[in-house]
Amino acid sequence: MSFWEVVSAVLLLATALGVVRAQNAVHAALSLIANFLVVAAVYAGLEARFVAMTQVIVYAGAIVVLFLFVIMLLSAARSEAGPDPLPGLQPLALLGGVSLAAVLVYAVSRFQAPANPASLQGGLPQALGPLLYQPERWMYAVLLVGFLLLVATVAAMLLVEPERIAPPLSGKRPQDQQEGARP
Amino acid sequence: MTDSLLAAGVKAFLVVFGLLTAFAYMTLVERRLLARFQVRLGPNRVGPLGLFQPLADAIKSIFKEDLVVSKADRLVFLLAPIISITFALVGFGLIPFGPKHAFFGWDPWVINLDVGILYLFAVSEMAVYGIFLAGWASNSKYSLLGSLRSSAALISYELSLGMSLLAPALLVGSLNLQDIVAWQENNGWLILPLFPAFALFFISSMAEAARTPFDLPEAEQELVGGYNTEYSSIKWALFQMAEYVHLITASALIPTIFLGGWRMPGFLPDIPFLWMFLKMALFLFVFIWIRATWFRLRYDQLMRFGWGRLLPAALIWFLLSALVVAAGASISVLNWFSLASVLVLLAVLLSGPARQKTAKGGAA
Amino acid sequence: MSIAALAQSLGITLKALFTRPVTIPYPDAPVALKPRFHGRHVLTRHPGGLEKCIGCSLCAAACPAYAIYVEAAENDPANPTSAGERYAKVYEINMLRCIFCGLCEEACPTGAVVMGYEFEMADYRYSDFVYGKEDLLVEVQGTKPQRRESTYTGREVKPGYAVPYARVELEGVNPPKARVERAAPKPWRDNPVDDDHHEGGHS
Repeated sequence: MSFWEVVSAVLLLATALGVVRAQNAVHAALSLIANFLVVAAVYAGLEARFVAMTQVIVYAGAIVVLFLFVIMLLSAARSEAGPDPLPGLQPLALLGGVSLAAVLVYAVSRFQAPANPASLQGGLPQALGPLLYQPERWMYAVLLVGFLLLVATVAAMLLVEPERIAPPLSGKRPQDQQEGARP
Repeated sequence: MTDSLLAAGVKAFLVVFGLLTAFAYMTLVERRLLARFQVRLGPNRVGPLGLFQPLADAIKSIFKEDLVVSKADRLVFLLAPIISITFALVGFGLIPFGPKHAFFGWDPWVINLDVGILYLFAVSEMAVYGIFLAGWASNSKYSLLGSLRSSAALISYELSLGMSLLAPALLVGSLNLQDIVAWQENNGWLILPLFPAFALFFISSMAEAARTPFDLPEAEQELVGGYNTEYSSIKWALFQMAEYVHLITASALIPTIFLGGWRMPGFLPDIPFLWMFLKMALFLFVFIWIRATWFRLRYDQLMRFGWGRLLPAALIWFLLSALVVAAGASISVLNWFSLASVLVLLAVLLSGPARQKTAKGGAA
Repeated sequence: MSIAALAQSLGITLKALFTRPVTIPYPDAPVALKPRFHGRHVLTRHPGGLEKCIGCSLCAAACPAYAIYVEAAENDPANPTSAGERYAKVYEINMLRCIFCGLCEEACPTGAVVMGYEFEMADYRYSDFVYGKEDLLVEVQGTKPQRRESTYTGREVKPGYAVPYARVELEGVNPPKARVERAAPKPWRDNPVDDDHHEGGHS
């Protein structure tokens, strides 16, 4: 393994540990951001540059922001220490961790690098486009994922303000809107 | 082919140094220009023409007492302005200022990424964290609310920022800023076929740099709260630096993508740094002009505008460009569409009710 | 806001950009005062050199801030100071109490105390703000701190103001002239007023 691979591995482990062990949820989120940035660097090193940038934009730039919004708005930053609410959680966690590790080790051992890094063309959209959008490749999968995202968006809106979007579903009439809600 | 790591390091240092000096003098330029828009002189006492004013402001800023609120999270309190300024500074390195080897034998850019536009997008999104964490780390509820509102506004305008950049990327076929500049040399400036994308990108850049009329993060300080209420001295100065560096980067990006970058059309010679500086100066002037003129949007107006007007407009324009490209039509079709949008804009301008002269003593 | 309104507002500010700024770079340029400006009081003299102030204390009585202190003394007939029977031996105005309302000028029967044009009176000690007769007479150029500074630097007192014309009541005061916006009004009498018939000649 090259020097940079070792460095990124150490950083990944350290930040991941930081996420799990931080006393403060916001520190954990910051650790998570650092983790995502290192992952993006690893992707870039693996000639998957588009995925690297998307990792930063989507994960570090949107998802962790969402986490932080929730943490900050609900003042959920402080850690709560105490006994586990359910019995037998620690052996179960150990079992889960060991099985995940086993799966990962198996996957890594079966990994085959692509023959020629240059054929990846740097993982740029010019190379990814044909893969994603040709009907004989992954186009239908992309369409399904897009549709899933659309469903999720509409569902989120419905959960928040059902009377505005689909009055019959909520059981309230549109004229029963709460004060401050816009028509 | 590319410069050595040492050269890149030196250029990075020069870019940072240049940006920070430019920030300092931009504060002076902005104050003088705003003053002239308001029929008064700006600061002109400190040194000839007020040229030492930024130095005086910097010294004052550094010597102020550096307060840290007692219950603040010290690590994050320190980290927030650092995040802000770091991600503001790294965005500038992509912008090409000339052809290869134009900078004393080195390339006049710090780095040339193939995913240039995505990198800029990523960097501006990470910079939102500075504001976000600053409000939280101050451990003050008004700072927190102010920072959450500001970061929500910034994130909303990221969407139209990205969407409006999809159309140029589509036409050029590459995300690399240098490819975009080279394409514009052969096919004309991208503002011609993509005027709506230019307008949307311009408006979204104003929002991303938190300039009036979208300067909610700044205005929050006039009200109680605002993300940097509890910051003083050098940390506060870092936030201001980050805002101006965003502005300068946006003023450099818009010409690069839409106005041909460091090249000029026709017979004008391609002097490496000059045209970019002139175009940046033009856009900085326009940003300051707009700041001197327009009101700022209220928060709900801001969100409504970003989600309800800019994002659909960006999407529709991108779909139209994609349709034209997919149908295999030449780009001149887009020229007609964008001309049509300019004409619509002019028609709206010339038919609005504000054109009537006010009667003597009457209301407008 | 309509787009037309946005564009029109940009046009307004652009026009303002090319308008000459209204800022006066004081102290590098003098401030243009209006002729009836209420500045430091001036104790005027008659054309012959006699002081107009007769020590009647009407100004002290009229002052709403009790800023004026007058002590009168009998005029020496051989060597009169003022044009009446008495003169003001002590005439002090406390510039920190004074509100520059001009009621003293209105109350004065002889037109002795008149509001002049000096305003650069910022100083350091309270006691320096009590201006005596030697600081208020019409031949005195400048305020107390300005005169003090001119004794240090050796340069003349430079007034920081300019007036289009001095009022008729301010006899003997010659302020720097500003660019004339309106011509001085003609005095309503051809000669200065001499109601007490101290100037000899015609009745």
